[in-house]
Amino acid sequence: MAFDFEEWYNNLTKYDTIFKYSGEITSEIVTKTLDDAEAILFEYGLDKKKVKRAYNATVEALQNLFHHSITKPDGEQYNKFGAFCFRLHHDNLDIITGNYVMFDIVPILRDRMNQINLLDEDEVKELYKKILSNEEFSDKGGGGLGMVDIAKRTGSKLQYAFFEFDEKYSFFELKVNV
Amino acid sequence: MESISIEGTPKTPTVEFNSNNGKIEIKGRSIPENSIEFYKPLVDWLDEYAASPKENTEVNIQLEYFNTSSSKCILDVFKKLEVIHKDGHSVNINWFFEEDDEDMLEAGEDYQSIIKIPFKMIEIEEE
Repeated sequence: MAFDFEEWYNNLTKYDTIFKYSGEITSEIVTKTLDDAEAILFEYGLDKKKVKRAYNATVEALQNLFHHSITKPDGEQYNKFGAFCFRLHHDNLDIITGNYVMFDIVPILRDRMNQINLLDEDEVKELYKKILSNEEFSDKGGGGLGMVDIAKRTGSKLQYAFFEFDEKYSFFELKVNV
Repeated sequence: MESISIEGTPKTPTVEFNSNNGKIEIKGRSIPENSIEFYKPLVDWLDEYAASPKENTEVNIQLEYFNTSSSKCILDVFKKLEVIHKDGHSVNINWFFEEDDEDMLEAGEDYQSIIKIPFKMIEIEEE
């Protein structure tokens, strides 16, 4: 059965959700969401170090959405569509994003994340430094560092899933734990 | 040459590049979606400054947050400063980080290992 965004989003945000957003992704919305997200993290009494790490990961996650999300193939016709949520269970914070991607980039994303997940913490830090000092900017302005940075800052594995929408589109879910 | 003075915003840092006294400061949050657009004038300014720099250039970097696209641009700023240093002028970088912010200290150490300029890591009390 084809992927159903509303069903995915309802399930995702059913429990422990302290912050959520779904809809159009613009620079202004990223700014507003970051402000709201930071306020929520403090409101829930997380310690400052955790808030900083979570905020950093949130910046990268939302900017990944800004640079790479595409339209929703059904329903609202925004240029960029994405979803974002925080789930807090005891002291465990999950940061989750979701966006549609073209079906043909799924293997590339999967390979990239698998490679990062194979590394231990020190190796992730080394990779970060290597890309920082060597890699050129991509045409979207990202340094190719975003995913590595999220893994480095959170010390978390990149937990991901791809859901097939049709022969052209897939839906990409990314979760990290802080 | 003119100095640069830019007020900070929620996504971009306060910038003071002073051509009269050779003091260079970047302070605050640097998390714009398009960092190249923000940093290009700063890198260009350093190109011009490098032609006749002050005897001592003091660089103060005090960032609360920066995103990955800024991290590359900050490296570009440091690379320009490295040229000035290589040409025999004194350049000192002070990298400020809040106490207990190991991530920001580590970020400074990453730059220190890439750029051949004297770096000083300075811990400051939380505001």
